[in-house]
Amino acid sequence: MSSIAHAAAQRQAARGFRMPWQVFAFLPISALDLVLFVLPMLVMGVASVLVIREFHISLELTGRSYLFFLGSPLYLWILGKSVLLALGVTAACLVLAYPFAIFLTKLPRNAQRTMLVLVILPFWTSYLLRVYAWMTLLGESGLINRGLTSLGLLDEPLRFLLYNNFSVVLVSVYLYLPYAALALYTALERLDLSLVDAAKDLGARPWQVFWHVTLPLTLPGVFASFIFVFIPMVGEYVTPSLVGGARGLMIVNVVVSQVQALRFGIASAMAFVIVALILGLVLALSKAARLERVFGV
Amino acid sequence: MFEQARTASVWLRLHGVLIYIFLYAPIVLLVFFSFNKSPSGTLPITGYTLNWYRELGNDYFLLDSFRNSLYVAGIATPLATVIGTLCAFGLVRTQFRLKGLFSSLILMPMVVPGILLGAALLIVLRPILGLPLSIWTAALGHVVVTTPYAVLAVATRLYGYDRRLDAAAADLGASPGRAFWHVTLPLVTPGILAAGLIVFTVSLDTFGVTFFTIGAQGTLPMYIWSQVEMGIRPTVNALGTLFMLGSIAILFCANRLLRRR
Repeated sequence: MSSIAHAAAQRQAARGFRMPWQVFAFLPISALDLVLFVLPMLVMGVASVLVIREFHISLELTGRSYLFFLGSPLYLWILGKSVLLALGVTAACLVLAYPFAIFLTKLPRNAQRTMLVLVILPFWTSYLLRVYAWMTLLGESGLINRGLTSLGLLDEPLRFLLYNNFSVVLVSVYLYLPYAALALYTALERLDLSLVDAAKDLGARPWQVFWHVTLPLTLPGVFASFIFVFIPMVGEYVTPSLVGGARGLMIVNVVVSQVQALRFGIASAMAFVIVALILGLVLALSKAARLERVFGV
Repeated sequence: MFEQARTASVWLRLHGVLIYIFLYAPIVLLVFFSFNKSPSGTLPITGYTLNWYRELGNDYFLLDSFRNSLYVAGIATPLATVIGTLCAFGLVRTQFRLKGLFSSLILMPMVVPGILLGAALLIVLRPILGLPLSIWTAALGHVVVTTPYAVLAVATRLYGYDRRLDAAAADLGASPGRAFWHVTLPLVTPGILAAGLIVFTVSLDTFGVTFFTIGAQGTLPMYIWSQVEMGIRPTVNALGTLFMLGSIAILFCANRLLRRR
């Protein structure tokens, strides 16, 4: 601490003025999150082990909801598939975004700013409308099919473009790519280039430099991408609903249909498993992703 | 490809251009089709028209949803901004055990699926808190979801703040409260305003948590959802174009505020 700050602290102590301002700083957010985030999650957890018939709750413990969910091959398959799709989307985002982030760091300073803004800009246009834009592209009478047909390359429209797992992955990569690009760019920008030069001077080949120097030093960016791509993707609802069709359903679609069918017990059990999975992953990854860095630790 | 030269190779440049095309093609086409005469909202282009924009103006349901969205965002923005600003001060300016854990927990509402949070809130709002579903309950949901964005925006600004300014104020005899009010706050205000604009924009676009918490009314994303579920509609293209222009204008202001020194 600087001597000025030290003197100020002494004077403050002498006046006997000690405001517990941290209380005011953390009280509102704690109250908000406890009542409107933690409480709902806990209630959901409790609801998942009670006997609930539509709106009638009886205080009777049961594991039936979990048995129903975890005993159903179909639901387990959809849960597993959701995790796999999310992994695929994350992998695709990383593979596409890594060279792109390298490209960004090699532009002149001013250009970097502009190009970064251009990456984030689509992210700020309505999420639903960006998914919708892909429906108009991929549909049977969409731009791609119309274009290929009018060029004489197709006799009848390609049907595999929409309403399956492929379209869910494609559109999700489109939606989440900016997050991965930003996370990787931030990590690459912090990279000490003299380490790269040193590796090259010592005779490392480009791929060796990448594998042994660049990648390990930018791993926090990779983990941050996981948090901002993989985790929201596991719980994706809109994209599979709009472009997934019956074959592209994901686990949250199933939960929502259970809520709408007023099967709250089963819905709670499913939601609880998903939220627990997400919470666990965030806590496991937050250290590796240096998330606390954004708060200046 | 991973050559660590100071300038980008041809392959990196090509890849970069392709990524930008990938990111922008759907949006550009959406804008393009919003002026297309053919009602199918796709090819062929049969001529240009402003009809779809005019139709938007006559859509009572749309105007109503837009007004509801403004109400919800108008209630949520000041609350989330104030709560987020306070929290950002606490996080940036104090050290404590488990701070990393606390920070991750604060970000959780950002990554938990909004629609699940909405469903969970549905169980809590009416039966436990006694609140009937309305614009107000939706706004509460929005506060939970958008506060992390405010925390991040303000924390970014605070992180670059020179603490010696506060020390100088104290050295000149200012009480901590006075130093905060006359030195810290004016310097951080652009960051807080930017946080407000970001929260407002995110709230306008929030679909998940609204779905189960708003009851019979609807916001703009709920309207878009109802239209999109029916298939491709040319008015949606026009709406998308307007929505995009609005968000970009708001975020342009936020960006200016965040950069100001």
